[in-house]
Amino acid sequence: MRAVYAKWRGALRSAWADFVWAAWLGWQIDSNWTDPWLFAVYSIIKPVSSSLILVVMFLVAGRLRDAAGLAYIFAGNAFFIYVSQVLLGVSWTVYVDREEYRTLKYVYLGASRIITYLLGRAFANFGIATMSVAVLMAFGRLVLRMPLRVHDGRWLYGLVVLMLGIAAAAALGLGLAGIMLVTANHGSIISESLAGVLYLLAGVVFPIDVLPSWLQKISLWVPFTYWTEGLRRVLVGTSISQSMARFSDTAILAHLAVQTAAAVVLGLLVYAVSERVMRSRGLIDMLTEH
Amino acid sequence: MTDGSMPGVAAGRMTSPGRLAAWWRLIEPNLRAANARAYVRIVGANRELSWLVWDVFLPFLGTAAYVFIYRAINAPPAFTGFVILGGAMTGYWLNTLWSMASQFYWERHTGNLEMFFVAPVSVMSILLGMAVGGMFQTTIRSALTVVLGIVLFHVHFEVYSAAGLLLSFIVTMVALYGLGMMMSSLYLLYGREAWHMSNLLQEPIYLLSGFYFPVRALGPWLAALAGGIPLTFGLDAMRQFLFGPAAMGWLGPWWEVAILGGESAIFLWGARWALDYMARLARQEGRLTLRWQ
Repeated sequence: MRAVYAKWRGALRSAWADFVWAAWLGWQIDSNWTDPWLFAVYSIIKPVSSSLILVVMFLVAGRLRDAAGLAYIFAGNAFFIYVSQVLLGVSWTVYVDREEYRTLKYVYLGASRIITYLLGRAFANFGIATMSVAVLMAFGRLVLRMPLRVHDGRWLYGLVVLMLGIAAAAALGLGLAGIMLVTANHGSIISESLAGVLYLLAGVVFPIDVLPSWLQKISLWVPFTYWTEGLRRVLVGTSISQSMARFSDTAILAHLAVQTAAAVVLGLLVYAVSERVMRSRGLIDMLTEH
Repeated sequence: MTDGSMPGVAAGRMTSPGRLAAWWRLIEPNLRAANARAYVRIVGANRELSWLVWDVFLPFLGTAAYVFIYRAINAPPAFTGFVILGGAMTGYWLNTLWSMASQFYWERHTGNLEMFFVAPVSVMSILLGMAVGGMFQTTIRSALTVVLGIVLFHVHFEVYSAAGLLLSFIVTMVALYGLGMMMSSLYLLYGREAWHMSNLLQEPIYLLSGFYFPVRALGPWLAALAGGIPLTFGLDAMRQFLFGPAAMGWLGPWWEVAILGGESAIFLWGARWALDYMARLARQEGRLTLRWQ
């Protein structure tokens, strides 16, 4: 028993070390091309601009006084940064390491577990996303005077919802990373497209009620629909979506948990199958120059 | 030869037909180089047809999301048209950033950049070919975006001046790709910053240039600042020619066309100047062939 415990402990410590080193490497790659101040500005300007587009759209449509509506889409848009960053962070690593730095084969040859390595690399993106979301929430609350705060003290609920969504994004990112292992020309486009599809289907910047009914049905199979809804309930205190109003907070959490578990299984399965194909076809160091 | 001068021509010692022949000998390889560089993009765009689907599909998702926002807040129907037009023009901006400005950065990675610089033609002809090919490539995608917008969202474009629309589009393209040619030279000194710079110039420009709303909403000072990006005036003029008073235009559309004409001249001249300057600097600093920085 003690031997089994020691073995597991050793494995976990080793995995943690892999994760930390990969995260450090990811952070260096993402940030050391410039000085920290410029990097911070760079990381903030994009999301703030993206959110301000929404604000100006409300302005030109004469709906700027609809504080709850604006906060609803503002929060969704802000938190979706996590999904796009983590999703792309995991999958893009395969592309960059294979094509640009040409180190993917060495990562496979090394002692690191590849999945731990990919998740670690994406952790840098998670950190950048956290910074962006924090700035946006402060900007929304202090500058735009939106009713953005944790309502009814539901910190724990919000945190669990947040983490489940990020886990779903990481799992789908793994699936995409698998696809990138075996694709030459479409890998990067597929991951950006998936983020775009999720942005649309999850009703990140509008209530899903305005989608055609067949798309609404599909959106209920997307974990991020429940994720954004749960986060908005915590941060805005209300929902403006009639379709989602029928779900209680517990039902939102339950749907999110089940769909996240499904995403984890799917992501790992796709990665495992793709990896086997990659090995059998000798694609680990292919250069596509795309 | 790459500096575009010939000793005999400069000294004015040749007869007219002889001078013409000498100029043709100078221009002909440059035209062939431009044609060759454009050919790669035009053929590349058609060879992998599945890319066409992704290239249209991907930006259209974002465009569709903005349409749904306007629908959710019950904005006037013309606003859907603004979004579709902006979404179609997004392709040109992305093409300018990623396939013009960043192109020399990618070419350095693939090893083509040194070949461009040792070729017996002006690098401007390579840039011209890139621009023409990129425009062709993007026009197909943007046209499909407009068609999708009309079919899926029933956008109704009421053309107020077809000539004005065409002219504003052409002059916007010249100014925009002139800017792209200029930026590609500036990017010669970049390493990984190039990728980040192009990445950074997306959402902030969508905001400042009013891709999804009339730029007038930003106020005169901010709109004037954004006027340095040709798509600001271009989109505003095209919106006015397409939607008339509903476009909530900023300046008169013909004024905007005139400003774009001026920007075209400035950017094309700037592209030539920047190319000479940056290429010299890159050579001095030994960065022309430096990869993975």
